[in-house]
Parts: sequence; structure tokens; C-alpha cells
Amino acid sequence: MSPAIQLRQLSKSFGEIDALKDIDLDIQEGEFIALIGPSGCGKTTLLRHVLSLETASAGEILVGGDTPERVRRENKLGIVFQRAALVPSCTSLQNVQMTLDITGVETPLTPAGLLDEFGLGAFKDHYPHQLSGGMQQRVNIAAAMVHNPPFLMMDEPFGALDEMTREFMCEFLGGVLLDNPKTTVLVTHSIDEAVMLADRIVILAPRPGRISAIVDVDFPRPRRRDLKTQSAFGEKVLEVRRLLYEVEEA
Amino acid sequence: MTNVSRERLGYVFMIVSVPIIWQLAVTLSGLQPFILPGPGIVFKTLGNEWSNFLYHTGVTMYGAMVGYAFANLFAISIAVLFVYLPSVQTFLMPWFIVIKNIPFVVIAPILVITLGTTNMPKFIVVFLVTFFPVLANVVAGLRAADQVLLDRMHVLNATRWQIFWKVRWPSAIPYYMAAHEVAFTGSIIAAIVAEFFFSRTGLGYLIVTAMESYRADILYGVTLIAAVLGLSNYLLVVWLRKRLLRWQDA
Repeated sequence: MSPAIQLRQLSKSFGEIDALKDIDLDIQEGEFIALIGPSGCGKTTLLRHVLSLETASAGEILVGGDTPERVRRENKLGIVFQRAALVPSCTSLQNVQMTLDITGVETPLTPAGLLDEFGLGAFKDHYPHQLSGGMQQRVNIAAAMVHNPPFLMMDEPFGALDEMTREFMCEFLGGVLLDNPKTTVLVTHSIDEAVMLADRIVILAPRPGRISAIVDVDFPRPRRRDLKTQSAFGEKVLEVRRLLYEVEEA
Repeated sequence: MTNVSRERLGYVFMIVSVPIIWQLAVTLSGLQPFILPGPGIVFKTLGNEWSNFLYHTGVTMYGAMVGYAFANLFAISIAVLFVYLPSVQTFLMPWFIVIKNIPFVVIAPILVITLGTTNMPKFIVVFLVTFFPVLANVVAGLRAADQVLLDRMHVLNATRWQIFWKVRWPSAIPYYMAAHEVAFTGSIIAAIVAEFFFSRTGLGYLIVTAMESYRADILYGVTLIAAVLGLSNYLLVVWLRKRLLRWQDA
């Protein structure tokens, strides 16, 4: 079976600066990939290419065997940014419903049902400013998933949350994806988050942005928060951290 | 006491204070009533000539509202063009900067000579005074749309209309309402000033004839009416703003 997402010799330049250089990566269907690396290594740029928000300078990207542009037009992409992409004047329910209104996709998932599932049943009529950061991000994830896209792209979705909320959200997201499997790419600065969620961690090096190492994470799912207390988790975090240090020192 | 009650009390205090301070000024200054009439004289004139005042107020309001309606229509349309077709802005801005900086009291007599003593010069003066603040604010509001939301809309394959209606316009509403606070009252000032030059009706005309015949009671009556109109407009905008942006107080 061909990979769900294929990056072939992907390169991107902004003027003189090579943001990405010869990226080759295959992502299997239903796989969870975490992209990690120092600031400016091109993690978000890579993600934006898959979302067709950027055009490659060279190379090829195939998502589900098609171009990102066409996949986007078929409403097969879900996106979660660090800042919740919610309309301030719309309630939680309206914000999630908006995805269905725009895409016109018919899905067994309903906005109200999804919000219930996400523990936000009592907050459907609340506006974003009435919700905590974690709640906003859960609405954001519901809005990204309600049209049931096979591909989910996440750009530091928990970056603005406090440590405990982050932990809760990681466990929560892992559970959601176990019930609704998707090919997922997560951009993160957090090694813990990457180890907790990913099947593979792709470590990027900067200037130019390129793949430095790939680490397999084979902890069984569901992964609960107490995984972090186990020594195997700590060893994996250490392994990734060492690789990141090598990247930064190179 | 709530903020709203305190605000209302402030207005009541002002309305009660005005005739008291006014009467005190009359008594202490010793000026003749044909120079500084007391509130009793002015209210008596307003009562005796109420149909005359009402008619001229209606004429001024009509001129202000027609000019203002067109100003809003054109300002919003051009703001949308500016945002979606930046080349239109490049072409039109030099014209707008020049027109905006010509004092409208200079333009009014030219309009009277060109268009005659119809209502058209008044409409145009009101239009010119109110068009630019509305345009500037709506452009700023449309451009202030959250980039994260715009990216979400792009990924969801939203049409331009959907992006406008669901993201850009809601973002522009607070800016648009802020423009109304200035421009709505400005429309009445502009209509009155335009009437100075040529009109045979309207509050501006009443001011000119009252000055010529030393009718200070009429002058003060018009001032009172203009103040009430301005304040009513302002309060109407505040009420509208609260209704449109009620989600902010939720």
C-alpha cells in the first residue's frame, strides 16, 4: 500500500534562505508523526506545504496519492493551529458547525455530539472568550475534525497551554484519534508531547531545514498520563533530547 | 451601583444641570435677552414655533441621512474592493487623499454654483464628510481579520463570500461601529453647515435667518435641537453597538 503522505525531495526557498532542503518522508495511513526541531528549522513551513498554504520551490508532495491542493478542495484536511481558529462572535457550537457549513460535507459526526464527546456539552452556547485555553483548543479540535477528514495537521496545538492542561490535552487527543484514526502530523516544541502522541518523531535540523533523524515510538495505545512516570518513557525522551542537542550543536 | 446605572445617572445629571447653569449665566452676566436669552425664553420660542422647528429639523435630518446612507454604501463597497483588489486602492488612494484634505466649506459653494440650490450639494457635503472615516475604519476592520481564521477558511476551501461573511465582516463590525460614533453625528453637522450656503430650509437656514434678525432665542433653540440630535445619534450608535457586539458582554 502506498504511503498516505509522500514528500519527495521537497525544497522551499524564501529569497536567499533555504527553509527546506530535499525532504524525503513517507507517512503511512493512520500514522501519527511528530515534527520536532529548533526554532526556524522549517517545521511549520513543511506542514503548510501539506496544507497547500505554501507552494514548494522544488520536489513533490502527494497526500492520499494526490496534490495537496486537490485534497484540500475535497475537504480531506483538518487543521489545528496553536491559537484557536474560532470566530469570537460565534458560540462553540456555531464554530464547529461552521466547518460543516463551509465544506458541505455530510458526516455521521454532529457538532453537538462531538462537543459532548469532548466534554464540552455544557459549553455549547459559550463564546470563545468565556472558555479556558484548554476548552478553546478542544472546540478548535472538534471544528477541525467534525467533517471527518482523513488527514489532520496540527501546528503546536498545545503550545499556549499550561503544563497540566497540556498533559490532559495530550491524553485527550490520543483517545480521540484512537476512536477516529487519522493520518496526523503534529508540529511541536515539546519532546514529552511528541513521545506521548507519535508513532514516529521526525527531528529536523535548521539552515537549511532537513531531516536529521527519525525515532520510532512504539509504546502501546492508549497512552495514559502515567506513561510519563515509566523509565521507558524517560529513556525515549532522553534519546530524542540527545538527537536534538546534536542538531543544535552541529 | 452598576456601571450602566452610573452612566445613566451621569446623563440625567447633565440634562438637569444645563438649564440651571444656563440660567445662572444669564443672571450673573446681566446680558440682554436678545444677546443671551434664558432657558425660559428659548423653551417658550420652541413651544410657540414647534411646527417650524420640526419642519426644518426634518429637512436637515433628511439631508444628513440620505448623504450618510450613500456614504456608508460607497465606503463599504470600496473598502471591500480595497481588501480584495489592492490595485484599486493603489489607483484610488491619491484621489481620496486630495479630496479628503480639501475643507468641505470650500467645496460647498462650488457645489451650489455647479448643481444649483437643490438638495444635491447638501447630500454631497454630508457624503464627503462621512465617507472617509467609514472607509478607513471598515478597511482596517476587514484587514484585521485573524490570520489563523483565514488559514482555517483556506484549508476548508471556503469561497470568498464565505470568508467575507464569516471572518472579515465580523472582524470589521467593531471598527465600523467606532466610525459611526464619529461620522453619524458628523453627518448632521455637515448638513447644517451646507445649509448655511444656499438653503431656504433646514436648521442651517434657520441659523442664518436668526442671525440676520437678531433672534438669539431661535439660535439657542437650534443649538438645543442640534445637541439633542447629536446626542440621540450617539446613543443610537451605542445601543446598536451593544446589540451587534452583545457576545462581548456574555
